[in-house]
Amino acid sequence: MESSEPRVGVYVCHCGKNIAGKVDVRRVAKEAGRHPRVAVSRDYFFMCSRAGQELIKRDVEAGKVDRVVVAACSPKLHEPLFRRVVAEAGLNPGYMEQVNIRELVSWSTEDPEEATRKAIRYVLGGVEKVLAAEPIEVGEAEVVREALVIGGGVAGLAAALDLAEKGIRVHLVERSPTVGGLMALLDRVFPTGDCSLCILTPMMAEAEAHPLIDIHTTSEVVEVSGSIGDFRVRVRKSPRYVDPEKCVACGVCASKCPVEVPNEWDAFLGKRKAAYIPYPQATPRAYVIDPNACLFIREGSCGACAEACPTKAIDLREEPREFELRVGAIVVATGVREYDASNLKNYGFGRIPDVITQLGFERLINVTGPTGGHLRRPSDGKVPKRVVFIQCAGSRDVNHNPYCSGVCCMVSLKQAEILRSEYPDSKVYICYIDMRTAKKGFEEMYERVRREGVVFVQGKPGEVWRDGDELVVEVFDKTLGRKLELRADLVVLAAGLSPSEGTLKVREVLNVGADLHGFLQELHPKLKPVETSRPGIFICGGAQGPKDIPDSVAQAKAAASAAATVLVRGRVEVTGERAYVDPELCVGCMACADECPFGAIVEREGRAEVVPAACAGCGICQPVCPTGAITRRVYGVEQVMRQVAGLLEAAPASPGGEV
Amino acid sequence: MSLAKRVLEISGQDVTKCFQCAECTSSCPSAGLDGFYPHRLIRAILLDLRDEVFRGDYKLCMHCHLCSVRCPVGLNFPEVAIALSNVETKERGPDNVERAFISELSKRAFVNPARVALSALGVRVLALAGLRGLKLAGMLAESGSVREEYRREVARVVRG
Amino acid sequence: MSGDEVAYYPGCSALTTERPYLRTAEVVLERLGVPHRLIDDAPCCGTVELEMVDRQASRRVAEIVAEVAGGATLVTGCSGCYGTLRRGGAEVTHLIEFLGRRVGAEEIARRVVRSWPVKVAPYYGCQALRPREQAIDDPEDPQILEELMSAVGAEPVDFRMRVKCCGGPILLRRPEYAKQMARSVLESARDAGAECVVTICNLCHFMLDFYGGGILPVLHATQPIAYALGEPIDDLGLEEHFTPVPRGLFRP
Repeated sequence: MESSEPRVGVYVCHCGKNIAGKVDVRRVAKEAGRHPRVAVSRDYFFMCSRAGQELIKRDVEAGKVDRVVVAACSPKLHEPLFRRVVAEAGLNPGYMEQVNIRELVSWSTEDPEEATRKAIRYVLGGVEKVLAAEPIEVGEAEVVREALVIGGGVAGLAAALDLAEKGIRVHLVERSPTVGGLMALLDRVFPTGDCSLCILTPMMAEAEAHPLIDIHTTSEVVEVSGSIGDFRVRVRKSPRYVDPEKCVACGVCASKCPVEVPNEWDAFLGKRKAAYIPYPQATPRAYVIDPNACLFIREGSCGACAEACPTKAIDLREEPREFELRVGAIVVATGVREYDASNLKNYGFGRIPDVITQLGFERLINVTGPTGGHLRRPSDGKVPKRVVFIQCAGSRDVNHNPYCSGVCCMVSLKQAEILRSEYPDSKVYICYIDMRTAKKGFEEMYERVRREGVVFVQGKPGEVWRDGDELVVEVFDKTLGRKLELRADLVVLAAGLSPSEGTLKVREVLNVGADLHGFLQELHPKLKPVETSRPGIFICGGAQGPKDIPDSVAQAKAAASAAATVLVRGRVEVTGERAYVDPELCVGCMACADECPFGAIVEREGRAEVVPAACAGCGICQPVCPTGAITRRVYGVEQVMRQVAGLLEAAPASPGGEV
Repeated sequence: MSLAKRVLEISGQDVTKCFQCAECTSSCPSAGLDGFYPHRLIRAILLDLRDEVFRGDYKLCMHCHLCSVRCPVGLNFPEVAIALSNVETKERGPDNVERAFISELSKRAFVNPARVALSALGVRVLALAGLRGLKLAGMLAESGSVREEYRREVARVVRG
Repeated sequence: MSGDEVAYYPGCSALTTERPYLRTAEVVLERLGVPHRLIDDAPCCGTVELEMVDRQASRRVAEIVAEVAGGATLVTGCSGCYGTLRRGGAEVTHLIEFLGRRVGAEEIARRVVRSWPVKVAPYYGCQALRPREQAIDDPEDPQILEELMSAVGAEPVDFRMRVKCCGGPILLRRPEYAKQMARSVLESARDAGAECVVTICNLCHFMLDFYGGGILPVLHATQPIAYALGEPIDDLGLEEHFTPVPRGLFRP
């Protein structure tokens, strides 16, 4: 081996039993060692441990190797770590290649022999790839010391307030006309039974008054370019048609408005005008005009509200506008919505008026709701004497949401408790599969509610039907061993939680990962719970997965803290793992710029140029370039081709093996 | 081989998915009839309690599929019942109702409902039908006109 | 494979106890100008009983029926046959789906020559709706039959048992219970104010008509459609029903 030729060191990690339990790691190291360019090939229990790192460092520092292949877990987990290790040993981090033989091999391959052969191939592919590696430049960039929080529910508010308290300017963007989110619609909150609005409205007011927080309601983020430290954010503000500065919330507009529509803020159980305020504590405390209902906006007639407004706050000709923000970090708190229970045909929601959801129940007992806090059933306004709750009506169900929404058991317990205390004559049943009361104070509440006389029926109902003005819930009682027909006046479905529309939309705008159900994906379920695949973008609350208020707030505070780490430091490392343009080859067609989801490619002097801080390193530009001028460093064409060649050549002639 | 495995092989239904919510039984129009409870049968299959499974009550499944469209884990109980019946038939032969059908099918490849009812229920059919039974009696002779080659093929298939 | 021609598979009952269904199904296809031929020399589908004996045999029988249809669109009016054949892997369309979706309720409404203004309980039973993979409409809240009945001028009523079982599948094992189920379907329709029930299955019709206790007249869905398209009352086969159908139900 000539000394000028690169010498590769291969380090195969056991990951305890995670890899070594399936893959014959010794054989992998031995096979890799046969490659003519591999100078050292080792295996070790935990490459990521201090001792494992030292193994690599010692070989590099001793001049034994100048290229490193680590065969271990996903690069998503430890690539930054191993890059740092080789850099500390004096090697350019571009000369480290991490090969994933855990997720891609040991965890996903059944047969040990096949797994071992696969691992060998992957490692040899990595060896070939690292032989074609080029150094990457690592730099630093300035950070814009402002933050964007998307979503103004309790998580977004908590994150915004924490950031602002650290002295960071926060832009809070909320789609609806008020901050407060879903929590503002709740009556009381479990397990303590304190009033939801009483603990939320002070946060809403504080955020509104905070000198470092700008709240943008009726606004949506429509485009985000750039990267950690310097995001460019386009926000579209839909017209409110009411100037919140001038509006005194007197309500004259609503009283003059002739149009009435079902009120989404009351789970459609009440009505509102086209000119309305979501609820009295809405923040900003200002009315809003619904353009889909307003006669003037739809067909140019009416306009009574604008005429009547004593402060001339209404402008029915207001247009949407767009503006740009520059921020160093983004916290996503776009939240959840209640699952659409009309999909549960057997329970009759949408067909039978007295079948409502948990959110509907909240509105019917809330003083800001359509009945002024007096429980009245929708069909005839009677006070329900018998109420049946149906748990998992849309959760833990492959036909609806396959996951457990995690909050509905507690919500029903709380609602049952309210019923029993405010309507002591009421008979309350909860039909459930499993009661899940695993957190602090929850089991105690379950016991309290049992002792209140609420009847718990284990068994999932098949159907709800109407018999005269009664409802009948057909359920097999597993304990009793026979079917019951529970007669009721009101049925409440624990419909569970789905990603909100905002959560589903923002994912496209931000280019961050999501799970199968549309909840945003954290970078690592344990160690990076608020980070995303896109550095500088953090997630919290219902956007990340269904959860209750304490968990949402805790996660929001974590996200704010993680965002602040970037913002307070003021500088951010730019990895250099990005696209580069060869000016000799570029013909200036700008096909790459059209494809770039991050707006990171600009035209300069007739050629494409990559803005380093904006490039996310996704590599989409690479295949569209007609001349091969643009390449994504670390994933260059040459490197990938050699990796593939390595994979194929490595196909061993093992006994009975097929390729 | 365990019953669960056999059911999986015949019907593709994996009963290990069941988490015993009993929504099937809540929905079942036959539930309680002769001790028939779909969720309990699934449990008995999982525990490999052959005597309990083959008590025969699964034959009271009406194949109405209310359970299968509602089942939160996506199990198709009627398919499970069919798989159990296939197992049982192989081991013990068809029951008298199945035999009545098989006999019609293999003789004529045509099922005259009046004749099947008479052969499965005997004279009871008249008691059940009352005066209408007379009208039914007139139909006993109907045999359809199934083409001979199909008739032979069906007879071959049905006899196994 | 589905050509322009319909190969109509009536099911054994439509050749014995349910002859008016076959007759009026053919009339409806004829009057709608749908090219069709009757395949009455194909074997029985085997029903769920053959599936219970041997799943594989049932698949083979479905194959034979599909072969008989050749390149034509295999259509059956019997939900029982439809379900068995679908589960057996045959490509088959339910007559009601054909009328409601391929021809379309609007097209039928256009061709109506006389209205049939009756309060009717559209009864679906099970096999046309479930399991989900073979549903001709929503498995629990279908509308297709309501649309067809509205198209001929009827007023559909909602009733609790509209998508429940008629009891037919356990008739031969628990006849008393099966009868009770058939009766409960009709009682539920009667309580909802219906003047009659329409069915879309040979077995459902037999159960309700024969064992339903005469609570309400039970029609095949194709009878009022044929009537509305101009077929004379005398040719609807009303006299063949077990439960008498008052001629007043088809008032001119």
